[in-house]
Amino acid sequence: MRLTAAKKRRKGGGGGMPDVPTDSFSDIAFLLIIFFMIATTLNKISAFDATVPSSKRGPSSSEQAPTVHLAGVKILFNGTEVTMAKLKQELADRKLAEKAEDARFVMLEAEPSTKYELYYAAWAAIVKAGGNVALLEREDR
Amino acid sequence: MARRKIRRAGVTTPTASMADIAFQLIIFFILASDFARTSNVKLTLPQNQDIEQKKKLPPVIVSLDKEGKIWIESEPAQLEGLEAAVNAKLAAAFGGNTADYEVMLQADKEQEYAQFEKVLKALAAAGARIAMAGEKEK
Repeated sequence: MRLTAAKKRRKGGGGGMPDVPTDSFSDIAFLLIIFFMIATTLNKISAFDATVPSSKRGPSSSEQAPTVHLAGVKILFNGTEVTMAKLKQELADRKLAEKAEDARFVMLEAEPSTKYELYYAAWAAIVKAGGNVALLEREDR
Repeated sequence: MARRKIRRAGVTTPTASMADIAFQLIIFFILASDFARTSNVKLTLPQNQDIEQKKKLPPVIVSLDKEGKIWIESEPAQLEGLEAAVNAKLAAAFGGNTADYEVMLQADKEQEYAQFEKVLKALAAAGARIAMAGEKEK
């Protein structure tokens, strides 16, 4: 008596596809989750764009450009000691964003011992006010 | 008279959809996260309220930690060969299109300007636009 295909499957005979064991799928999935949680970061970095021209003091420098000098913890704007809030106010009053590209320069220089945090804050304040930073190089360095 | 044990029905937790939930979480983490590229670098970024969140990180990150060590991504680097190393990384990332060169520079807030200036000059010499990294102050 010849068996039909259905009867063969019921009997467990040859011709059927082997089952793929899926019992460990969830274990593998959780392992992958743990890997991605450990290996990746969700931190988002904030930054400002810094264009870096430089100019040396001399006859060719623009004497009209304001100067920010950082000495240790002091901030000197055009030679006058100011606070960070005052510096931001001074920069805002100059309306740098409305000026031509070459009139937006603000000279920024710092003593070697100045902390990066203060330097960063001064640069960010200038960029926020629409200015372009020109780094002053000391001739005696 | 023999006592008959009463079978109490236990509470079973359906676990049939656990694998589906697990794969959903995996897809979320794949899409939402960014692999940490500076995992070896330990530094504290300066906090500032005047900076904005970067939507896309530049492909090259140069770090200056508190001890003055320089890192390109997670690899230590020397100041002497910094410009050449950054140029090589940028060329690999941007295919030689120098107009698009961009580097992220991050330094520890306690670092001194003297050290930072050297790194800044090397990056400026490499001809890349520089994004100065910080933490957005809340």
